[in-house]
Amino acid sequence: MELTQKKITNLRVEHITKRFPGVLASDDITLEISEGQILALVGENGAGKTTLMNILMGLYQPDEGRILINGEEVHFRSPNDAFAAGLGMVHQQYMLVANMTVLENIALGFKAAWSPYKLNLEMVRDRITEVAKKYGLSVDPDAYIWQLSVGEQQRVELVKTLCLGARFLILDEPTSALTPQETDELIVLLKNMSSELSIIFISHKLQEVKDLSDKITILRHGAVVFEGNTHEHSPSDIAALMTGHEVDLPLNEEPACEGIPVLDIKSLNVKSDRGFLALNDLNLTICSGEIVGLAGVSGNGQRELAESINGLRKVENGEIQFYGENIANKSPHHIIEAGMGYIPEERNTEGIVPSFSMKENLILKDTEHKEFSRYAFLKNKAIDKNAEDLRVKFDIRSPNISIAAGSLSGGNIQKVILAREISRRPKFLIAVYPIRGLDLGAAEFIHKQLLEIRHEGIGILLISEELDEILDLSDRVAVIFKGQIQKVLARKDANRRSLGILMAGVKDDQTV
Amino acid sequence: MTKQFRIFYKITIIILAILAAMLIGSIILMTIGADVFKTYMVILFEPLKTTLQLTEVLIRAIPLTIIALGISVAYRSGIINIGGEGQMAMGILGTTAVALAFPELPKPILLPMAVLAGAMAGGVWGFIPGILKAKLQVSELLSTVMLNYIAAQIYTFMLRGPFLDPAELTMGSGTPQSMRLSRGIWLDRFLKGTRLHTGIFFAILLALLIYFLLWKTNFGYKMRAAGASTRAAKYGGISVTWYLVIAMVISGAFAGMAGAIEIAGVHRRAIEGITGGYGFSGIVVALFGGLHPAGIIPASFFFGLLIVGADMTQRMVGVPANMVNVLQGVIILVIVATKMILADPYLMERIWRKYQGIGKKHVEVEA
Repeated sequence: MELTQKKITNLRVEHITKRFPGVLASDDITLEISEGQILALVGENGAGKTTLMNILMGLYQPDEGRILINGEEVHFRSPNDAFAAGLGMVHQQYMLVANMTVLENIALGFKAAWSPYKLNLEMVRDRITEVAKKYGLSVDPDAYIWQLSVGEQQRVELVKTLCLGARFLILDEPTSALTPQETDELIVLLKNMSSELSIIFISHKLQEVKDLSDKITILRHGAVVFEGNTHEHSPSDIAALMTGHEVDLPLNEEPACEGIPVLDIKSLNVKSDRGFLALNDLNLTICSGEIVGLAGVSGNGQRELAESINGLRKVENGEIQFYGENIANKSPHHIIEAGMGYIPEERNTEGIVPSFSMKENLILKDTEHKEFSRYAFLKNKAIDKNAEDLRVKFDIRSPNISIAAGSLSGGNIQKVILAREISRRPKFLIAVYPIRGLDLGAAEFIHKQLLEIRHEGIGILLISEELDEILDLSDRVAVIFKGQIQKVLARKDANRRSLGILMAGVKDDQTV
Repeated sequence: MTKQFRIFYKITIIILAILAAMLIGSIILMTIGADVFKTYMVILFEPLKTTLQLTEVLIRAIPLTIIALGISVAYRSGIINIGGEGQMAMGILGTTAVALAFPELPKPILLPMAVLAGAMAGGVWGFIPGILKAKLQVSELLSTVMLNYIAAQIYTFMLRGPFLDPAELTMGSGTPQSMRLSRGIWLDRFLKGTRLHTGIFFAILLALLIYFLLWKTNFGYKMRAAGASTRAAKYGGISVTWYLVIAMVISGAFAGMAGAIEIAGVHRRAIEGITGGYGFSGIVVALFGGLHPAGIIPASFFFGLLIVGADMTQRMVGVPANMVNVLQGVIILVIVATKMILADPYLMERIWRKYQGIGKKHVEVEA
């Protein structure tokens, strides 16, 4: 493999158009990136960012238009072609084998080190050292992937892509799984790397677009709606261009509420799927009419907490007092009937039945209630009316109420779930990553709804990794680390820095 | 894409599929030196030519429909029932036991009792894999198949022992069978000169029942939710394991009833080997019919046709019935593949664009 091919000094796509049945995914897109530039590609979900990147990586063939590298037209018939031309992509989901070392993972794709009977690991090791030195990316080649944090794994992905000869990087939402500190580190790292190569990165988060990119391109409905230099525009300008209207994510500005404690968790112990204690003597109290944000890096017990409150995971010991009743180890049905609302983490597999219609999904928890059934027979008229009403009230954009829920976009699926949970008039709501992966328009709507039911006196436990979301909405912020609440902060004491430090496991602010 | 194109596209695919099935079948038939054209005509059309043959097709379709309905309930609830064969055998034993024990009872009492006994026996045979899956996560693929073997042995044992026809000992037809059952459980044959029995109405009634159960009641809603997405159903407060067990009981009970109807309508006694693969064909019929009663009824008819057709080719063109089973397999594979192709919008889009290839400009105008 020739690893020292010439640099990509200019990448240009011209008039790229791609159609899918019924959708124009890319509409006459033209872009240009020169040497050493970082281009941010932003846009709402479904705007066509991923389609465009898949075309660049040779996964799709454009219907029209062409790709030029250093002024020469290229044709990518498969990802291998794109790769040979020097383009490398780091996906949102890391493609690493957990029980192999960094070295072995990189050797997997390093064809030059392969011979029929022998794998030349030393050659791969040399290459890693070379790349690490050149770009300032430190990795331990002998560490196992499962031992590494998410941020370190991402660095391995970067090293892997570079080792395999990428001279142009495409990063798909690179910060979506990182802690705030890791995000900052990544931004510094990418800025340094940009002296050697060009980068396209896809992001929803306007702050990092601002911090990192030189140029910005905004896509909407498959077409470029804006191109410009990043430093000339404020994040709110960019947000407005992205959604097509001014967006201000709502803030919780109401005085701290003085409700009564309604959810009181006392020394809760819960095991994870792998059998260790995911929640270890966890204590947390939430009152009616307040939003408690639970901040933390994912995998510190958030899933186990939400599931055990909802009766979906066995409680080893401890109590969950809900309006005076201990609901630990009660059935999910019992807990739902007691007034618990739940927006689960995986909206497609836990929140809805994808093959069921939207109207059927809206009654998932209420098939036995008098409103929707009589003598076990479903009342179709009431079900239709319920769905029509909620579709309007929650602005669910679907062609009709009989469409399979799984065919809706992520934002609309989340609105279906939210509509169902809120219209059931719960006494409490647990919302897990409610806006993960959603565009600003949908996020704004969901946040407004959460603030509204808070105002009505419903307590909310908001589990999120997005510090902005937590800081915008919470009355109090609890930080979870290794299955325990590190600390609970009042809104005025919580900021990105204090939370980030607590999330990383440092308990005493003073020591940093 | 124009409507005409869509229709044209679908018809073309179906015609190509039929030609493909015919072609593969022809090659197979030619290797054994059969008259290809004649064989096809006999399989597909001969059974429809006389009333007698047509009723024979319907007689085969009755147990197929009932078993397939039960299998679709299980499948929709997320559990695959391959145990129809064993459940049907147990159903026959239950029915036979009741009919032999109370031969004197009048028909309005004995017939429902006997059918119910068949349903219960089949239901128990469905309950076992259901509860094993719910409580111990035992794969139903394993348990239902194993229970088929056990049921087959129990069936043989009962027919050669306690239920054996005393006349069989003296005269000996060679096939173990029970005594002829009391007239009290006979289903009427309502078309003179044929064996077509009232079980056909029962099967249609059951199809309606399943339709209402699955799509019109909250009970069916929960079963379908549990099958379509176990996780989401659990998160929605539905006790998935409970519905899974119920679905298996219903599925087994239907197979048991199929057995009860088969002996009450056709054989009027339990005979070794009369389950004859219905339990397995029922799976194909259920899937073929789209797991919906409205699809299962025509699918049963089609499979009944193939069974009768296979019999006739053996007699009329000398093609062994086993060979026709091979053809059936080919037909099923082609139909399944065709369904997949028709469900692929991307392929249709690609062909549409090829079709438009000459005037590429037109596409732009439309988009």
